[in-house]
Amino acid sequence: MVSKKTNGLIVVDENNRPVGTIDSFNLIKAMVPSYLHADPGLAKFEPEDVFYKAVSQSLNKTVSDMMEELHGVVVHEDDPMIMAATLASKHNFRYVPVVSESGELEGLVSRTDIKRAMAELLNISDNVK
Amino acid sequence: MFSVAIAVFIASYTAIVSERIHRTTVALAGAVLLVVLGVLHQEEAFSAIDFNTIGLLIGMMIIVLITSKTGLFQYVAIRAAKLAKGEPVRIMLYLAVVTAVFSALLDNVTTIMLIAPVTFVIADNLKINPIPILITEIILSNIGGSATLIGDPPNILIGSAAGLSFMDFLVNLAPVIVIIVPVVLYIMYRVYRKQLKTTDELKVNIMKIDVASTIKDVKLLKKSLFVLAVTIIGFLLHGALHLEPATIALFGAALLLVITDTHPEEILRGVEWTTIIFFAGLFILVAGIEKVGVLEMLSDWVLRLTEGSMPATTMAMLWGSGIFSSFIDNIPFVATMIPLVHELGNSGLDTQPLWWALALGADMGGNGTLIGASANLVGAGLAEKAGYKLSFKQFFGVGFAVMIVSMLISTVYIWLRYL
Repeated sequence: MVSKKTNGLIVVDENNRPVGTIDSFNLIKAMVPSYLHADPGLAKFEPEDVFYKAVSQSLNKTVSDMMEELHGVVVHEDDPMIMAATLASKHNFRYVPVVSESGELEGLVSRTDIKRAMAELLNISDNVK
Repeated sequence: MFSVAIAVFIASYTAIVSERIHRTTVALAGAVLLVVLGVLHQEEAFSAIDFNTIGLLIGMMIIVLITSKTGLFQYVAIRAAKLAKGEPVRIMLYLAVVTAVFSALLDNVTTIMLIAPVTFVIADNLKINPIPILITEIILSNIGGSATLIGDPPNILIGSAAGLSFMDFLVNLAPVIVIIVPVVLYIMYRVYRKQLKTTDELKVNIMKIDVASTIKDVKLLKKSLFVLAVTIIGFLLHGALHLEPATIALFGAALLLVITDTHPEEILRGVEWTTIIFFAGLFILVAGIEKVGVLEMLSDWVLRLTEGSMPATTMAMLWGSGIFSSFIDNIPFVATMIPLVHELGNSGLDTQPLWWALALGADMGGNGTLIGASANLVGAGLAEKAGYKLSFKQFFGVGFAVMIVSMLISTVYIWLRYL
């Protein structure tokens, strides 16, 4: 994610079918130990090296441990835009995968894509700077 | 009817012990099956549910849910660690005592869920393995819980069924717990003192923690402490006031909801309904075999075995309960034993010593293995999620020894006091 300068990825199975999404929020969530999730107030008493410890422990986790499962949240190329927008808003996913008839990953709709589509309709151009 | 009731009962208990299906699903399905198959009428099934137990559980859960939002438990735990001057072995002993006291007033599982996160943070600061401390806390939560009527589900069940008051439990069980706790602490000290070493620089970390900042909401804390005090006084007096324990607990819960003006929805969602339904189902399952006369037969069998001798029956109850409870969940076990003790009472035996033997056996037995009590399993789960390992073998190594020692002390106590 860091090398590609992106904040999210789509996880596919061996048949190139999307199964989950993973973004920076999932990575952070997987790194923070569950007892601090249960009692966030305690985090301020932890020594500095606990961050390092938690990060190295989370290295053992696989992508499938950390990703959010899609459970069939995909759109087809000819689905209406409002469907992509509804799914993105309902599931908090950074990207909604676009799949072919046979379910293979073809592309994605990002939040930015949806934002741009909204701007286009409202005649807001993006070269204001 | 006879064989149907037994078949449903045995099938349900086997499924509960095997843990393949959730125990609440099993209890619910078994209970409904008894009604569908005509062993019990719906009315009989509903009246078998002991609403005193159910009300007490719900009331205490609400009080704890609101109080745990104040940071009180973290405050006390960190205070204890500072009082121990950051010395790991001392911290282990102090936190164990804190856990024992909390679990005498709260449910053991709740106590472990509150104390474990603080323990991990303290261990991080000292760069020590938290597992010895966690095991000590788990063991002491099971022991401390047995001192009072409200400390452990088996005690709630027994108190309600036998009409024993909070005071009765305190007078009869607290003395032996006061003897068991220091002995067990000494065992834990001997076992773990070599593993718990840290440096003086790291001890300073503990002393630097600003303990006052653990309190999240001072106003809520004051109200919670007030209601806790009212509730405990209520428990101490409920016998004299002729009020059932459930009334006291629900009074405290309602009072806290009223004076804090908390939205009930969030709190009521936090009540462990799965546990509540489990209890309700168990009551009905036991009522099924009670109705067809199985427990009468069992009682006759026990009496023939012990030749009706009071000491023999009491000791059989104590050790039988201890051994059973170290391998199976003590809640279904105690729920089944209660009508059996009533039957034994009908045959002319004095039930008082039998109740205390059942309570001590079931509670102490929980320390025997990792699967003996829910607090053990919850503790192991929390440790695993925090990146540590608490294995069956590791727990068994010390838990079983502790169980035998506390059972021996209980044996002597019951012998001297009641037989």
